[in-house]
Amino acid sequence: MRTTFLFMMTSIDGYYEGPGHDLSWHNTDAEFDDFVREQNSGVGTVLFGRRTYEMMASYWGNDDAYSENPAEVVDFMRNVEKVVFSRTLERADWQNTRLVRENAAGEVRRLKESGNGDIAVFGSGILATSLLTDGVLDELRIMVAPVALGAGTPLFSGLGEQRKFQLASTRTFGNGNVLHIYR
Amino acid sequence: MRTVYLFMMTTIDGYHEGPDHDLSWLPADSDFDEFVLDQNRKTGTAVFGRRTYELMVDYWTKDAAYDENPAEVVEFMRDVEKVVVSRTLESVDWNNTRLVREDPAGELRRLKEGEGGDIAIFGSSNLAGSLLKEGVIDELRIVTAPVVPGAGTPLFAGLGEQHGFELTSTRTIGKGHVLNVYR
Repeated sequence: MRTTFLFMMTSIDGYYEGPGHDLSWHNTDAEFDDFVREQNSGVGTVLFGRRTYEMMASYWGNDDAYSENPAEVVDFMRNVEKVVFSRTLERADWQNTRLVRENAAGEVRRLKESGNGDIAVFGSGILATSLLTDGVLDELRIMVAPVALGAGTPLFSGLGEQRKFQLASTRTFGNGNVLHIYR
Repeated sequence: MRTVYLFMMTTIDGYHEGPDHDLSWLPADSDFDEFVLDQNRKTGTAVFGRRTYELMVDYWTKDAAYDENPAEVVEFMRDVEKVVVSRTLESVDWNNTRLVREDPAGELRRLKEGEGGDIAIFGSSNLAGSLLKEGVIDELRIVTAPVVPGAGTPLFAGLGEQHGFELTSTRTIGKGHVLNVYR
């Protein structure tokens, strides 16, 4: 059975984006890039919500991405199997991308039964909340950046009821990020 | 110069209390008790906002507090010098407690110049946000519980703007709580 994990960067105060969808506080460096490369090497499918998909397709589809990232990471994002969940998108043109309009949890359950590698949710706060609600997220990988935003969109906003997790591990990065892995 | 630290418990999604002031996820094990004892022994003054103060008086003055905590922690909370910041409270009658109505940042700066152990701000997210903004907090000690309530009171409600920190240490407390210390 494939593992479904959420990878999300948050602030100390639990926001995954600042006011106005601000992500300028994201804290990355060479060690972060290495971590991402290593994480990607285990991933077979990437899931997005509509807004993250649009940002990703625009960012990674542009050749400028090569000047800001290791080529391997750009190529991974372009080539990996991608699924975008949206009721409003008319089509998803990015390569190797499938648009799914309904029943995200059912689609994730089907993916888990077949295929290879981990199933990763990158960002996509609203999708993450709905997958957590439906019990199809196996693991949370929360990277806490050393910044307090004071306002923004909280992780898992709108989750109907409290969820408890087991802490599996933590990893400290030289730039002050702390990765918390929960199952 | 005395160190001012903020000690707060939070959830993965950044709430220092869940809906209806729920704190059922606070750590309760001997590892956490030991950490608190050690922290208390170095602390000379405790600072609260109004609501945290009221919760604290109510909790720590009851004899039931002895059933749930080491006696030394209960006695510390009762005996330590305490400062409450509030414009609306008329008086404070807990042992060794002083009421400060205005300019909490100025009061903290004065305390810092004096003699004594560390100055602790326990909980009190609104006060914490405004003191962070004023730059009088030297250190954040954030304990994250392995839980997602999905709603509640945000960690730094009164912050108002982004604030960057340096991570100084990380450790696991008990089975699933993580302490991150920032300066």
